[in-house]
Amino acid sequence: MDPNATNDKGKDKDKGGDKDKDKDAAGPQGPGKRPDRPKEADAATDVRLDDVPPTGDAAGQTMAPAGLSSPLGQSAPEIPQAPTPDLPAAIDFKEIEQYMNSQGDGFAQANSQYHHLTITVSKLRANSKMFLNMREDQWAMWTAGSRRGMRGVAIEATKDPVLYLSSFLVNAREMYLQTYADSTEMQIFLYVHTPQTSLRGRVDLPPGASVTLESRSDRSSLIGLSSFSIEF
Amino acid sequence: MHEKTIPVVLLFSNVAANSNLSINLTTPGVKWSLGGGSPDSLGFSYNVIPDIPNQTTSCIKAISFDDDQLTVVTAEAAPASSSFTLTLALTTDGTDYLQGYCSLNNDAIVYGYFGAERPVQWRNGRISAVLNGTMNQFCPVLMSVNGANAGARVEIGLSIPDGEGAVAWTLGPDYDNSMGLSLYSNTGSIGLSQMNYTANRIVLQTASSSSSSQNTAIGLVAFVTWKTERPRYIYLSLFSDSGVSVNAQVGNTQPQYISPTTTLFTL
Repeated sequence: MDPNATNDKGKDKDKGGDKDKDKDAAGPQGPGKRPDRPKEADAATDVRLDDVPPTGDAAGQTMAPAGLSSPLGQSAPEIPQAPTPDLPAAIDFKEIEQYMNSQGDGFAQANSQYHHLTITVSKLRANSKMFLNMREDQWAMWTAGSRRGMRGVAIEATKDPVLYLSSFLVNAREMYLQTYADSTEMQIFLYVHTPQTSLRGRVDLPPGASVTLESRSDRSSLIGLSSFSIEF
Repeated sequence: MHEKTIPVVLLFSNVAANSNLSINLTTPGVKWSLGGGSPDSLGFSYNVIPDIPNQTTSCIKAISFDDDQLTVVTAEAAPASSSFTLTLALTTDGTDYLQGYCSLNNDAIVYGYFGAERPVQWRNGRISAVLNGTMNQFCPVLMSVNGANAGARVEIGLSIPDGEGAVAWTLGPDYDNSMGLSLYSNTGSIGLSQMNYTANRIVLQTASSSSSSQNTAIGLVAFVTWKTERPRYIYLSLFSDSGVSVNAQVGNTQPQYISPTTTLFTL
């Protein structure tokens, strides 16, 4: 595992044994994001992570770099190293699946959350396709949630009399909708199962269409061929 | 808790307009899910598999599912009777059967294909299904052949990357309910003059003076097996008269059209 990798993979594998009770801090960015260099903070965290004892995270404190276990703001963080130019290795999806499914319920609840997401697709014209997928380096899966309640995965036509789709597909990593008539608005509700605090992906829309992703705390609206990042 | 995920295909027919239809599972330990699998798996899909009924209009207003219940709400403006195909996954903790009930209009039928077994027929009322053991050495391939006019020849070749062992077309697993090799047509008679099924290739030859319509889609379910370790990919290739297209779904991955050259399908 490349310790300089800036993706979430290295970070979360090392957290494997943690009993991190504070769910909100369970992410590389930490609760008090420094607006100037969130990316560098990731790099610094990942670089130093081998030196940080796991208990440093257990109190739910920020991922202060350089092995500091002091709370946020007490000492100036070290200037982080620039990430190496090597791209992170493409993750074999089977690794992600195994990681998600291998945790017992207790651990899964503490570290891998199920975050509800609403995806609203507006003005998707006839005979066109909306394609949305997660970036390949994300440790996440679309799921129907973890509890036995009645909310799972749903696709609805909210403003039209019919769901004008000739086909659609939602699997653990991607989704697409294909229309046969002009659609005013469609909504997809589902859950993201992930230990990350945000999700990155890409969307491919025809002209005139837009898609809005809404989580419990964040919203992102996109058009055309775009990448997105949404916080949970 | 040993969780197993079984891909499911649900073929709905004669579904009424303006209704709430649902399929409810009552067996603990069995639930609907998106399934995991590779990024190119079918997951939860509508009218994606190769041999869907030939229609573009939809009758659906909303579809949703959670652990126990799959619900389809049909639109007021839908035709009086519609058909469509959904795929989904069933996650079980090792339970080898399921029970539940369907709320459908009385004319509606749901054919449920679990894994590669022959379908169960569900109507309004109590339902059940037996979930057979996993097929360890087999993978079903569903193909839809289009544009095979009279006197056309269609050959589908099978191979794998060098050094990955050996694969062959086969009749499938030997338990009773397996679908086995199936040849069918949704729209009319098939009009074949010859079919040849060998380890490396499947050859179909349509009759030269066939009375069937030119655009009959031929459906074919075949199985692939391998000698030692499960290969990562298989290669299919198509040798046929011009105008023929074959859409293939290997296992539970999204369908792809087979090219005249090697086309890669993940297993």
